[in-house]
Amino acid sequence: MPRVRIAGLVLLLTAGLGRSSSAQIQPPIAKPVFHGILQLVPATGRMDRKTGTGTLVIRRWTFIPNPDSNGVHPEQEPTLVALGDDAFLMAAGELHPSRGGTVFTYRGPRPTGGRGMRRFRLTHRPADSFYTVSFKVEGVDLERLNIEDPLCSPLAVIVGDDDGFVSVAVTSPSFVSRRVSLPRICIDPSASWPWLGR
Amino acid sequence: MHLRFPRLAVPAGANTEACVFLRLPAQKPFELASWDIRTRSSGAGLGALHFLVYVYTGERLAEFSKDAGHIVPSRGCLDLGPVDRDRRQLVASGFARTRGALPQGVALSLNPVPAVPGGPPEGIGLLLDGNWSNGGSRTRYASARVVLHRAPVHTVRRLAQPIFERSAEIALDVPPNVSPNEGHVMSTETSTAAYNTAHPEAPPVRDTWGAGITGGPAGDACVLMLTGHMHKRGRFFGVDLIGSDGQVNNPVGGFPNRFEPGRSHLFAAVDYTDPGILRFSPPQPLRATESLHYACWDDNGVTTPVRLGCEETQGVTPGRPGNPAKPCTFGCPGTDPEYPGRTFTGACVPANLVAGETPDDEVCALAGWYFDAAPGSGCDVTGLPALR
Repeated sequence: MPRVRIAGLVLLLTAGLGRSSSAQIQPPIAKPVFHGILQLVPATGRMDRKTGTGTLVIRRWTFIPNPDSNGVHPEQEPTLVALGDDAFLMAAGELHPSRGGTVFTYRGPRPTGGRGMRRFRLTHRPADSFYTVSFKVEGVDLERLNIEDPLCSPLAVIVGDDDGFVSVAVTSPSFVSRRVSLPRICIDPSASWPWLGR
Repeated sequence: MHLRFPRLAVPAGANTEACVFLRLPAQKPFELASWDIRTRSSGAGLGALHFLVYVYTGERLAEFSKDAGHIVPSRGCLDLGPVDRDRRQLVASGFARTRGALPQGVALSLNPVPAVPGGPPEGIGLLLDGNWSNGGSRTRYASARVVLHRAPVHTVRRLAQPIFERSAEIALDVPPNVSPNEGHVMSTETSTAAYNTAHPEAPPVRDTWGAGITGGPAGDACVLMLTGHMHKRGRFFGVDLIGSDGQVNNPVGGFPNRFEPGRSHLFAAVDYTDPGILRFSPPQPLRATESLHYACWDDNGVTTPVRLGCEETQGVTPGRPGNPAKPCTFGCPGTDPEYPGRTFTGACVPANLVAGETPDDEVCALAGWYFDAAPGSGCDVTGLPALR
């Protein structure tokens, strides 16, 4: 079910309705075809309780592409980070390859409106064909953390037609704390609660 | 306020829903700001499907209290409590470990209710509804704890008010799924339209909630939460946002209607035992010119057991709006003091499904919580003075 939400979001972006990280008109991203996995390492962040937006810092998560993938080409393909209904797009060519094409990085400007991808790094591990992904994203919509805790949000890193996906718990020590953490994976209740099955 | 759902045995392979009623002596309302729900389960294979906390808003606390503290297996908590058991409001839900809160400055008032109709407030009645599934090969045990946190003094700027709108059930009348009505699932929109046509002299029943409607807000409102309330033959519940122009103004990507392909809703529920909740964060503004329309789709024997009732006139299907058929549970003698003025042929026959108090009859209610908008129609009330 969460994949459906992410796919819907991608379709919106395809139609040009999504907002891009660099606040420019972005080329569409292909619908993910090859579904892989994201392996979570506990991550942290902070949020503004008044606006309900937050910053998340993800370090060294493992992106395991689908074994049937036709190849991951971050330097040529658009890259999208999606958390729930929120998405941050880096257009094709915005990730800079280095170290013989094994590291791909993006540094975004300080976002106007406080929303955007600040940095993104994808490291290819040739030994096992996995990728290590780290990023810092600002302006994530965490408004629901003001009334509900923990949240179980689908999170995906999509490179071209490949995605890595995980449902992640987003929590905070209290309803007034600015601290946010992503401590573990979760089972999205929408996958089992029929009334949410849309 | 600490509440406990006692240890419940869930047999191997079972899906068990059970309810516990708790009576808390109180004369003053409890102003709820946040809550913690923690469900516990022993062993592998046992999972919580839902855990719901209702506050009882009826007037028969004494009758409800007969079941206080005991676990009563029941789907949708329809098998315990007095005749006004449907007067309850969903307050909190969750499973595993869940915390919830109201927006800053808003509290939800859990009001004490009388022990008997017309009496003084005697206590707060809370109904805990837990549903666990055991996929393992051995009996497992589940329990839960709920902590309700009172709003700190001088922080409450608006009190949440209940939404409980039931006009849609007034004309509900679904014939049994027997010849010549096979395959009939009827919506309250259909029954209400028929009722309005048949009663042109009366103000039309609109099946909506909003400003100017009995039980609605005085003006602009901020909706915190929406849910539905049905009984066991309710197959679908849908809510539409009606804009100032009188047209449906649901957001894109709403909940699809399983009985009317192509139609979607602001909110929908497909399970009477687990109606689900649409919680808004930030609260959803509802202008005085807007409203919420709701409807239920009820099934009398297509995929649910047909409603049976005691026949009153030979050859006439019993049960009509306002007069549900007498259930056959204890037989169908010629007369029954609980049904004064009605006589029965002695036959138990398929009956019309109408609204009523028994679990065998239906209910169609829009439920939820709202608060009055701040001056200027905003839903941010943090700048308002504290109520006390």
